[in-house]
Amino acid sequence: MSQPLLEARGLTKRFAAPSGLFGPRREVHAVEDVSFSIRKGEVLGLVGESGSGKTTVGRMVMGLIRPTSGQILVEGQDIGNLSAAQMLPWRRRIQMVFQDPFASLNPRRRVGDLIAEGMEIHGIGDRASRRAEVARLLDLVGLPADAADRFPHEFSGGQRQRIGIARAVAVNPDLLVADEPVSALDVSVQAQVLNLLLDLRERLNLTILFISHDLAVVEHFCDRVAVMYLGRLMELAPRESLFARPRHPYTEALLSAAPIPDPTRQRSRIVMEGDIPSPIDPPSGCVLRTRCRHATAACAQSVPPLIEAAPGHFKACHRDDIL
Amino acid sequence: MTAAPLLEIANLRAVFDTPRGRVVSVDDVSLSIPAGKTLGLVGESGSGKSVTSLSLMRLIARSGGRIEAGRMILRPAGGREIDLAALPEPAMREVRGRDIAMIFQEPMTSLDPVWSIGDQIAESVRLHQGVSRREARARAIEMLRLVGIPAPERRVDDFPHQLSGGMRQRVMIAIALSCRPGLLIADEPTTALDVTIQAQILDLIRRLQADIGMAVLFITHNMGVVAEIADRVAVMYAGQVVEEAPVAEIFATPRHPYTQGLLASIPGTTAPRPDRRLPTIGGMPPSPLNRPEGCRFAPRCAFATDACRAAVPPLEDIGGDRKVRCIRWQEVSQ
Repeated sequence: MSQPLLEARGLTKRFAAPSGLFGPRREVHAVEDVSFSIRKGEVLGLVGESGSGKTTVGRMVMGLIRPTSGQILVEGQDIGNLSAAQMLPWRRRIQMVFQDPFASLNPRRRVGDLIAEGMEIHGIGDRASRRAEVARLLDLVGLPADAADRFPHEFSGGQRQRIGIARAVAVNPDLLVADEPVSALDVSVQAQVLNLLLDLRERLNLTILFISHDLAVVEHFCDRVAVMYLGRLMELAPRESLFARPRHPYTEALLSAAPIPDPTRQRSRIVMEGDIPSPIDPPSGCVLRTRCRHATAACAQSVPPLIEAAPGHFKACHRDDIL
Repeated sequence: MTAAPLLEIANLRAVFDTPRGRVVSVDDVSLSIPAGKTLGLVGESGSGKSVTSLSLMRLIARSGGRIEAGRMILRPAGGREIDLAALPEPAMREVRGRDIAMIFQEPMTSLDPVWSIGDQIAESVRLHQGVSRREARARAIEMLRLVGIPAPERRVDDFPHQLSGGMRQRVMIAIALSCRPGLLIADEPTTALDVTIQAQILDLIRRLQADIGMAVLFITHNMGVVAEIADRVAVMYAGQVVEEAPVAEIFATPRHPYTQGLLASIPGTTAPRPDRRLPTIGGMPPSPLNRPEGCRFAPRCAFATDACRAAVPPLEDIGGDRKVRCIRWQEVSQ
């Protein structure tokens, strides 16, 4: 068994919550004890609703924020607590694609410069070779060569996302963290960008951490899927296994709530009551218990560990008599 | 003999004058909704779906546009018949909220942050129904209960920032439905919400629709949501309706090449190809300042011929309660 490219071990992030001058110190439990690994060439989907902690996990993997505790191992080395200088070579190896193609590109720089910026920072090539590389990258992501001399505002949302992708792959990364990369795009454009990511994955042998709230997109795109709720991992399984037979009540409810573009499909929807609780004061024991129709008294007592319910299929649920 | 529809839009044209020229955002759009039914209006950014709804509410002038042609006949209870396109503004102000109500994507920006939610519901009731302050408050509590807000007697004095996104959307719905309008316009009302909350709100709209018997114009880009909520679906592209049909038919047998392409590009609607690539529609929608002469979809359409490029195809009645704006729909459907 080869070493995973990326491994998260007991990843935890707590932020100080605004508490007022005299109030007690409070913490937002953004991510609690999350562990997973990604093999080279694999696409791992990270799904969850707002406040699930999926974006915070992505930002820790990127080295944008430090974990409160736990480790992020790349090829066995912990990068979670490196200094900025020590982190630099790792930054080249891990690149990010953002959700909003309008906010993530500097509007005053030409597209060619935006794409070449990473190569410059990491001292890759000289001016002439970078210019040639930009032309190759534009072609790779399906943009015309003259795009290099234009500004981001001259492009549509889908084209801007292609620019963002070209910028990310320019420094030849091993891992791409894609945080909701197609959520802001129209359906037909979304399909084009997903196809591009599939092309690049094959051509560049990319490993991708794909963060999304859209289950249909995740089912289409990912090899394995991790489901998060209120900062914790609920279920982690290969795609087929997760969608064919979810083993966690949260995943079951999430799948049943997602609207399906087929009006003839009769579904018994499991409507999850209530709102997601505050991460400042998450429920004791299993964080889902306040909204879970299967919850028992035992669920409030202790946090359920992530156990292997079937080969490669993990779930964190006290009830082993359901699903 | 079927009753005349509650809403009948005929040949609506809405335009914006921009520094770069005149933009026809909604071009010759005709739609109707029977009382108690839901019409799903779908399309991508810039297709004209939201401008259609702003025209109906006569809020388009605030965004710098105007209604240039067409009629928008509303038939509220009591046998009245109103042309919203020609109604003087003071009369229109009474129609808004009483006969037509609207909910938007972002409930936080639509609610006033300095008023309690109870006051905001009561304002609408007092404005249109002239009841006392005490009655209006009781009505506000009743509406909050109806939209599923727990402990409404206490929540009525909360301010918008004290509520979650899903709860705010429930409050918006409570305000919108407080006068029991005949028509609710819902413009992407669940787009900003998480899926489990979206499921709750869709259930709520369906339940209240059955209770009140109102018609709903449901605007969305999400084909999954439309499949769940609509009785009929109209698909817009570049300012025009390109296809209209009962919901089951539009998903089972789309007739317009754009509808076909749109549905096929959604993950999970067709069996995945071995290489997992999604079918895509090549190119992009045309700029509203520079639309093609004939069929607006022709430059992206695999079926396009010279005839398609020569003249704008009519929205043809093809039987089975369906319409399609494509002169080659029979070949396309083979």
